[in-house]
Amino acid sequence: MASPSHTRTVTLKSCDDVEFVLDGSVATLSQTLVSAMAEDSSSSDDGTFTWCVSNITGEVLAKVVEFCNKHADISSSRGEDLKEWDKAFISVELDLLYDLILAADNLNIESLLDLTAQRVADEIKGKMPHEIRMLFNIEKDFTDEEEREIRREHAWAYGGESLKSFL
Amino acid sequence: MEDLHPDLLLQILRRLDPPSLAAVSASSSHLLRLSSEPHLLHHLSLSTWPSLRHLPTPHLHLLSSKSFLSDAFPSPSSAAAGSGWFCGGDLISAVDLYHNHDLLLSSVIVTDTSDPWFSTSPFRIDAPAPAADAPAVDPARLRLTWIAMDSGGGGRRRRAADLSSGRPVSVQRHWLTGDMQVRFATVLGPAAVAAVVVTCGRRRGEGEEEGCWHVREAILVVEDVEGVCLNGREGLAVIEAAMGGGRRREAEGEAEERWSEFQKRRRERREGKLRRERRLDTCCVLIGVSALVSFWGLLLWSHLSVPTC
Repeated sequence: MASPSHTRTVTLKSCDDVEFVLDGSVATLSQTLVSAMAEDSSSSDDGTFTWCVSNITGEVLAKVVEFCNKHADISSSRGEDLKEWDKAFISVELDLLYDLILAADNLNIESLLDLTAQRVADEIKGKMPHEIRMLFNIEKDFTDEEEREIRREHAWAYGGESLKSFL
Repeated sequence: MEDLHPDLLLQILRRLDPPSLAAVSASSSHLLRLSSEPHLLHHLSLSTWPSLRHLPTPHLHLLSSKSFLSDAFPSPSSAAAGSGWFCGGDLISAVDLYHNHDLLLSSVIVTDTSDPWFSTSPFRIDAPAPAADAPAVDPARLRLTWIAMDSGGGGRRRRAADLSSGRPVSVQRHWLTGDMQVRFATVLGPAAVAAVVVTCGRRRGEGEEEGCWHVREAILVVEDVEGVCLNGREGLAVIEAAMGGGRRREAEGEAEERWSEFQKRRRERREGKLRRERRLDTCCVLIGVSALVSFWGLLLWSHLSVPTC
């Protein structure tokens, strides 16, 4: 029978074969690992469990492991300190941020997903559509009808001439 | 970013405010479709105006429509010509009062406008008082939204508008009671203003000399340019015109500016009225004096011109 998840050690393997060893209690932050461990019974003897994350690189996985270690450490993860730490942790380039969102989703780590989604939202706030397109490399692909709809619906915020530059 | 799974994108969009969502929706057709998702709009409406969770169930579907956000978020800027559609239905007010970031008051008030009593008496909607244990406030730091909605019916499009200025336009001590009156006013057209007056009274705690300000009540009134409260029918017509009119996102301080302009107009009206009255007074006095003089003159003249025998 498999031992309880928090007493086991978990080995995470990235797509470029970088391995990270996590404490069982740290791994419980990821719902994906929790359910995988619950289903798994093969490696029960030595108390280790290996999980390959197919589409996450070692660099990103290192960040994820860093996040999980910090958040699982109850003695230090309290209140303001943790918030400050999160803020520093998430100040990364957009490319890495994008990978972190995918990793958080893949491993189903709710707190990391919250943090990354909030960072992207903060990035968007106060920007104009053309700035958003530039920031995230989005192509403008409106049909005429959609463009008309936008002009009509956004007239309140960006009337007249500024609506033209708005789009 | 567009390659992200729609669920993940929605996670991000849920955390935006209405203007940012508008900007995102204008960046690509995929994001336009995603940002019109009813669940997202519903969530965004509730997080922007928490009081809406108390909305009666038949009206809840209104929150999932895109037009609700673009109706209720910006300030009414121009009035539409009244079409008189607002007769008989309910007027729903969703009120949220904040102090800094703490929600002091959050409730929905349904006013039956078909009541003849409502039409003829002064337009006034009272929000319920905050809980007795609500914290003390600094009146200048209060923030308020007052979303007025019509209850729909007759197949017409339902409208909503924020009648509050968000930040106070004036904070004044009442000359008689000493209470602090905080005004949130939105100028609706050249001759009317919707004003929410939040009254704060001092409440003394144990061992306190002065006491701290506590919110006592919040009422919505509609006043004309002379400062007279309009009655229910007239007030409703003004609100109806504002709901149907244009919208504009106000820059900071714009509401105060519009209010002081309106106050100036009000003062000028009053001064003009006073001047007219003074002129009328002078005219009356002049006519009186001249009548008196001519009467006495006539009397004297007739007396002098009587031939002496």
